[in-house]
Amino acid sequence: MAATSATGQAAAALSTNTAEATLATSSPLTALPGELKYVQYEHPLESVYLPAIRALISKDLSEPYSIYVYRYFLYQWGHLCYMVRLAPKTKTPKPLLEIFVTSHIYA
Amino acid sequence: MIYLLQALHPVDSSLIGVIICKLEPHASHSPPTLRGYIAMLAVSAAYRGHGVATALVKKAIDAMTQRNADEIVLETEETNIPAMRLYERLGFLRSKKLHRYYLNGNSAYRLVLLLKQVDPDAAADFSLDESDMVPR
Repeated sequence: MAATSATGQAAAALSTNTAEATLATSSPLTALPGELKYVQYEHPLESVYLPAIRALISKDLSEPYSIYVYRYFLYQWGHLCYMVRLAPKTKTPKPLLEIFVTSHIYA
Repeated sequence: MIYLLQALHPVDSSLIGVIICKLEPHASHSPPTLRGYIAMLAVSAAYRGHGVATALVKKAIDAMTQRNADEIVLETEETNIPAMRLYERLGFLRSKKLHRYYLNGNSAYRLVLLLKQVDPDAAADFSLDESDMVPR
């Protein structure tokens, strides 16, 4: 673990500030413009997931966490990280190239 | 390749919520407990009020329960009524007040969710040491 104990302390303190800040004020939409999809974190997709996670959590922090704070948790307990994304209701047809490539990956 | 991953997993543009936890043996009690810790929870401002945070916490509780956790703990700012309400609705109890816990000078509550039957003969001590909160 690369994070120092001081970093960790700050992380622990700030992390609950995140929970606080994100829950403090709410102006709910009447209906969500799409379907909620719950996704479990997968380490091989760190390069996709982690920037998005950091962006979301950092919004409510006065000082962003070091990437090591995230990695401390995600390396060891990625199976205890869940994400939600909003899938738009309107279905857009997939580009042919994507279908072609994905079908070859998973074939 | 990055483009392809993003096309398959379009999380970066549409991520609206996340929960990050850990689960470790905790040895300051005897017998030692397997303790879950909710480290981070965030929901995008535009999508609050739809139970997203509650759903995320429930998923985390379920995952840690399946892995045989004895308890789950977290800290939250005492002025954060929505968070306190969310956690208390899910069965979390206030175990300790942490005076001036945050850098902004605010105090916090340590909340705990007990997942297993408490042994009535064991000493009921849910006070927690500060080292729990620090990544080691």
